[in-house]
Amino acid sequence: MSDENLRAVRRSGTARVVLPAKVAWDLDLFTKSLRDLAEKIGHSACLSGLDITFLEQRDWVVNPAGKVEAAGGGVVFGG
Amino acid sequence: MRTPELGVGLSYFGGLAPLLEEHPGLVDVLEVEPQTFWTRLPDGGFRADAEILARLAGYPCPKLLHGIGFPVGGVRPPSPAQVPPLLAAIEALAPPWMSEHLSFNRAGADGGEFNTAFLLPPRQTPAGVEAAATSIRAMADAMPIPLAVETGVSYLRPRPDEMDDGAFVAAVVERADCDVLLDLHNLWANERNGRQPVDELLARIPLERVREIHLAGGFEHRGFWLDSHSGPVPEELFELAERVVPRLPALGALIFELFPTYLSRFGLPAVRREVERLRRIWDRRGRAARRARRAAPADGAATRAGGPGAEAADEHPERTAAAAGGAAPGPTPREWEDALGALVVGRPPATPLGEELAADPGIEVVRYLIGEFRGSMVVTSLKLTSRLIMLSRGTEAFERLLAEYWRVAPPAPFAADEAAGFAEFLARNLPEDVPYVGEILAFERAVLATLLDETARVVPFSVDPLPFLRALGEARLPDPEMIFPGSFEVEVTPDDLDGEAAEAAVAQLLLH
Repeated sequence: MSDENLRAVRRSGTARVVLPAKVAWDLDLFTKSLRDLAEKIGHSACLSGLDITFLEQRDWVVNPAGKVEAAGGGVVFGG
Repeated sequence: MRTPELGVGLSYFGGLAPLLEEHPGLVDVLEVEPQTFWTRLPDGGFRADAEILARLAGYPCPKLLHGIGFPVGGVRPPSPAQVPPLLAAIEALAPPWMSEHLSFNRAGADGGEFNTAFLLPPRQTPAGVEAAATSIRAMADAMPIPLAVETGVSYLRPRPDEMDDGAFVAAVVERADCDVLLDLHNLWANERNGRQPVDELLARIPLERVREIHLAGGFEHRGFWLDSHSGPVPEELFELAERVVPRLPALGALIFELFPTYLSRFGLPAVRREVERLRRIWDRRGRAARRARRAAPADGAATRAGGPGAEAADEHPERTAAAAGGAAPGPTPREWEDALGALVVGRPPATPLGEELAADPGIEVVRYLIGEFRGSMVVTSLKLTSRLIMLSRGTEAFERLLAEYWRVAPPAPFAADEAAGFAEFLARNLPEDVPYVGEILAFERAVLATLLDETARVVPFSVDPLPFLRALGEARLPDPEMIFPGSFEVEVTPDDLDGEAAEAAVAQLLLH
């Protein structure tokens, strides 16, 4: 690989891939990140309700179409 | 000093940046939740992300600080470790005032203190007033700007041995001599969930102390209206805000809140529409607000010097209770916090109060919300490991693992800590029937550690890692024909990449 941020080298029978942590951590190749990295590993935003990140992950894993209404026992979003 | 009238604003998170850049005049003020860009240091302190702080400072509008991790409603004063990064944020952003929650999030007796990672309602008795006022003063005294406390959400039923919500808020802010952040969505949710009607609460509190309003949307779930900050302000709440705002002589800001997770479905155009809706309320304050300002005591002097509420809380706490409907002493604030905190993190009731509280249907709702929150932190920070287990053995198997971990470990409010704790647990309890899960977990632990300490690490793999990582990045298992056994290593480096370089690196991975 030519890109210096991601390169594989073979040395003594072992192939090594060099991967920046910021790239490796955000390997979500089907959804665009909406938060800064620090916001994701830091303290949650003000929360006294439902964080649906886990619901979405569960649903996307079992249902690639990403239909959230199928998850979480019939949660209806919106005001 | 009179509150500056800042106007309409948004609670900031990174996903809103494109909207703010495209519409520089959209908001008059940005509210910043400083803890969202802190990471915890091994010595118990915190490090703020300087890049985000600089970006925020660069926005031309005024900023406010809204604390989210160190509420001031309980018996445990907020941690002094937060003071230095808060002072740094104040210096960088120059907010005219700041706010924290009139709630608690720490509990646990006999040295076993834990964080609930969720804002909980304090004990609403005269003793609870004293405890909250002491915590508020501890924080306010360490800050160079005024502190307002936010009216919280409570999913619990009202109790006969507590002050009503308005009487409690009134007594606390008079006793602590602080301002109020009126979260109307919280109060509206409380009313919908069976607590005090908002109008009744507003009749109890010193309106001249309200500096700021929060508005948000939520949704109903399991019979409760959740304070989820998930969408538009409901019409009924909007109309309530229209009625309330002109009555607030010291109001300085009207803030719309959205939880970052909901942005992808709500969308930036909808955020913009909500800000414009709020602006209609702000602009219509007009004459009525000016009248209210003239009628209000200067600097809240009457109440701060010992108005009726202050007297009741200060010298005759039992009168406050009696005025609130005959509240009896009952459990102490500490007993309340320990019992409630233990229940919501899934521990069995250990006291008569715990037994009594366990019968409240609100407890189960809070447990569910905390579980989803913890799960969200884990799947965010250990995304590939979580996906590998869910894809290999189903979501229920993964949820069972999480539940086992919840039973032995209380929540951690910082996502990196929650993920690190679960990763350690998982490393000791690896599902034997999920191929390569140990290697993926080791990889993600290394990535997380490198992000925190900026030290490179090497992780061995027994298969070519790139097809594997790519597949999990796309939320699928790798094709069997793409699994190439061999001797591989991934070197995780702390290289700092800008957005374009990061995208290029991901693109390379996709091409592999």
